[in-house]
Amino acid sequence: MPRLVATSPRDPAVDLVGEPAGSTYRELAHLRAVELLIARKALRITDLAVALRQAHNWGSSVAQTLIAAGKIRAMDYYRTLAEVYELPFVDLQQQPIDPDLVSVDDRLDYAARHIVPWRRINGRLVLAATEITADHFVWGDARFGTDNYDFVITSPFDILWQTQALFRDWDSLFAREALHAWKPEHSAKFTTTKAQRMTLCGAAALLLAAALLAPRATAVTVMAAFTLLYLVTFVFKFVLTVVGSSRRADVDIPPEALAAMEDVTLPPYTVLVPMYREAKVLPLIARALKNLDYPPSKLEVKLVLEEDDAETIEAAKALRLPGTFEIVRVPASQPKTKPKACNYALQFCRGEIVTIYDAEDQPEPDQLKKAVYAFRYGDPRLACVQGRLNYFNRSENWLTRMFTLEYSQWFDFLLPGLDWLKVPIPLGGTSNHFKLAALRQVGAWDPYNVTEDADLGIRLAQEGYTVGVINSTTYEEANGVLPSWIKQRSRWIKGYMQTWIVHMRHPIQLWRSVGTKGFFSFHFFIGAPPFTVLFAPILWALTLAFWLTRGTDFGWLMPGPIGAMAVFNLLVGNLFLIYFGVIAALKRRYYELVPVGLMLPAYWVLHSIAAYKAFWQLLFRPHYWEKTEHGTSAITQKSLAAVKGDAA
Amino acid sequence: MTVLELGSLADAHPESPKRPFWRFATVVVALCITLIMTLLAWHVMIEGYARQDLVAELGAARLSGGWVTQLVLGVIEQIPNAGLRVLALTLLAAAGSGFAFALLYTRLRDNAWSVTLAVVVALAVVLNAADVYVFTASARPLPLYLALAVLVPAVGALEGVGDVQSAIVLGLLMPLLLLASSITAPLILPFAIGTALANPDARRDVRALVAMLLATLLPSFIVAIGIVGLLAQAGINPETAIASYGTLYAHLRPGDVGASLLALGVLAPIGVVPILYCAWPGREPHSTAAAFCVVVLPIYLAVARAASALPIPAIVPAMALLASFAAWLTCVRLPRALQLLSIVLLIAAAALSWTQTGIWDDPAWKVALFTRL
Repeated sequence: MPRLVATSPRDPAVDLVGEPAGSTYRELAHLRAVELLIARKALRITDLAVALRQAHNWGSSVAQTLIAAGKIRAMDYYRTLAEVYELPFVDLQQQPIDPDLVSVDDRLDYAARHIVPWRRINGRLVLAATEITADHFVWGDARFGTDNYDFVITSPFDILWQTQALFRDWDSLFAREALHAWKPEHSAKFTTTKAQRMTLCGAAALLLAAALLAPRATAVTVMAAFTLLYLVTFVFKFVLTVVGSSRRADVDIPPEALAAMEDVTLPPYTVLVPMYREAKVLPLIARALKNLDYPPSKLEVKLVLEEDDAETIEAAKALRLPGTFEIVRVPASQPKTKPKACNYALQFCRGEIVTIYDAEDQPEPDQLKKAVYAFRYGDPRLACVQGRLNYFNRSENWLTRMFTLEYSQWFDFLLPGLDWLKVPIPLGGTSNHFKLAALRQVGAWDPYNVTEDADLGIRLAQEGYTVGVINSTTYEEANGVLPSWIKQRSRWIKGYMQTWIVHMRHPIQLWRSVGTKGFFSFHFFIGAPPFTVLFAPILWALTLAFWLTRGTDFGWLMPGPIGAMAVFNLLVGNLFLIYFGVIAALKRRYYELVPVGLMLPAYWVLHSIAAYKAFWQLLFRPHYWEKTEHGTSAITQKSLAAVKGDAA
Repeated sequence: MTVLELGSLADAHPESPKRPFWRFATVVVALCITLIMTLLAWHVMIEGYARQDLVAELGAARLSGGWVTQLVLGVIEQIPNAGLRVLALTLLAAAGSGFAFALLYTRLRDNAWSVTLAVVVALAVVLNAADVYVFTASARPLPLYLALAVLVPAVGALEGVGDVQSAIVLGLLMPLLLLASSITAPLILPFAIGTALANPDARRDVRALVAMLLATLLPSFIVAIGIVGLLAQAGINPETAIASYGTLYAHLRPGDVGASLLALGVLAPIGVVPILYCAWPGREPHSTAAAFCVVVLPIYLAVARAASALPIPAIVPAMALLASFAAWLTCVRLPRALQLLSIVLLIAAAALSWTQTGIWDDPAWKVALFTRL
């Protein structure tokens, strides 16, 4: 298409009888392509009619709508579009880009604008693009000068595939090191800093000296400190549960409000699904994502797969997913973590909002719209909304019941409580929806932190952003296999320890950035819990021993008020923690779980076992990612069989 | 501008901004009431009246099941200087009253009371002899009033909203009945059953009923265990405390229930308003349970007072009615006629509280209060 036509307003004198009034030349080119496809019987006219209506309602192009709905293959469409433009179509996999022509500075533009320098032919630069618009000329002129280049047409997948290949090493490095290079103090690449190690050694030396000089007083002081820590943690949880149990703490987005949102106003949305060796559950997440109530033409789903995970890649290809799905292959490198994979994929995202789902997730269909609603009517500084997580296999065994109670308490009481108190919220690993710009501004995920989600919640708060909770649930598979549960839990506890240590490198700065309330919450919601489960067995044993051997030599360790606090923690604190677990089931009407909740202390023992493993790993394998195995549930197996049955 | 921002411009914001609790008027009311109560208490002390709550033996509250009182007084007792003890207790009670009246005023305004009427209600309650007595002479029954005052709105929320959150909140508040007085402890079970049955699922499904009963009863059970544990830890035989409950209920007698109820009716005629409200045409739906509690709980206290051996003054059930009525006002929109009737009856109650000395009186306190005032 000549530059003049592409960059000028439409000429009314041009004969375009039958074309929709007000169409731009860009739209007309796409309509011509569609006409050609119909003429060649590659597209049915009824499908076009539906797509035209949807495109109008959704505010998308007809091409995006048809490809997203799977009515036509992207490759066929862009070949036809090339004919309309009277330009060659190039398959970039067969005819790859000249690597000397691309620049890392334009890396994000290639993905966002779908344009990339391709080759020099007869000394003249040729750009590969998915269409030709005035914007493309502006972009090209700014880089290569006016009239110094020509165009060829290619497909978005070719550009994605080629840019992945070309910038493989750069993107991989960026995914691993960007945060550390930008703000090393916020990165868990090194667990502790020199100053922290010196402080720790100093404190240990002081404690040792005190223990030698005044052993009894030191022991009493240490015991008092732990007892007080435990007490404050309990009181904070109590407050959060009471506040979070209130209906006012629930950000309730009614269905009518969602219905009133016009699809045309919805922003483009990216869904990231990082997976590693999850081939068997892939059909389930694919089905769940296809069921999302969001215009497919505004949705891009990126299956983020490790490039050495051939099994999952092949399984994804075999599903023949619609055009909204893309595969992003993450180069093999250390640390092999989910946040690193997400950082890598983030460089290919085009949505205004980006969210993450795990391989076994089953989000409620309204979740994306609810997130848009929350962003639209929320505080302008709202950078992320967290969907609630719960389990679909809660009644499978004792462990899944306990896990469900725990998650219900976390997402239905504690997080809404934190939200209500306006303090930093540690995000859950999935179903968190970000404004892409804000996510990039804070340096995205820390690839070295094994609970990158919790860490990101704190970093967002430190950068002045807020996080909210929405009333839409993602159902996951509860880990019902004990060794696998211990692995997963040890990673979470290790991650919380990492997060606390990282953000305590500059405590005053942290306090200034998140405020006194946020600072307190950070310590007693993120910092203290991993350490309290570590010390809980010791405290329980000592308190019990003190109580049972009252009047003997043991009582000196907990004099007066300390003893009262310890007894309070042991009886009232722990029983109320059980109570919180019990009532957690009520919001979701999981009444059958309520009596089971009385067995929570046994579950806490497992927490403590996991905490010791976590602590060991924090010392010796801080970045090791304990992989959680999914697909073990009988319900998952049943759902998979149903999906296969549907497909057959 | 992003699509997200464009969308925000296109649609009107669906929510109206909430009014903050701490408004100028709220602060003024809180400060005024705190100041008035502090000055009155100080004046009473200077005139030689010793606070009854500090004069009584520390363990007395324990024997009547007043665990909150026991705890607060136990902490106050740690202050070495007697004057400072009085000051600490006075300031604590005055600050509590300031906050309570600020809350009352703010919620009245939110519930469509005019500024004048809201101020008159607050003044009529403040000027009630029972109220002044609590904040200047003996704050021992304060936890009892507090328990009823927080339970009434919680019952209202349970009836109005009817979801599990309101049941949980009510369950968490029920231990106050255990902590306030041994006389209110038996109310826990009927409250728990009522709360559980308020949930529609519990009326259909036994599992839900069991779950809701656990949710409402467990907090009181936990607090009871905590009391026993802490008593044992403090070297006090828990059996003596438990025995006080046994003694109380083993020695129940018919007593002069009629006189006790009459005293309640005379000192707190305001109980008529919730009864009228229940029969009022066009009242808010699902709003009778809280009104019922406003009347029934003080009647229970009046009956229990007559039937038990506990030395409960006649003014206590009346003040309990006043407290629960004030709490009820914070969560109900009264019709104009009932607003006016409430004011008339509150003023009458205030007048009767000072004049009906045959029912309740503390002459020494009144002498101290009115000397050089």
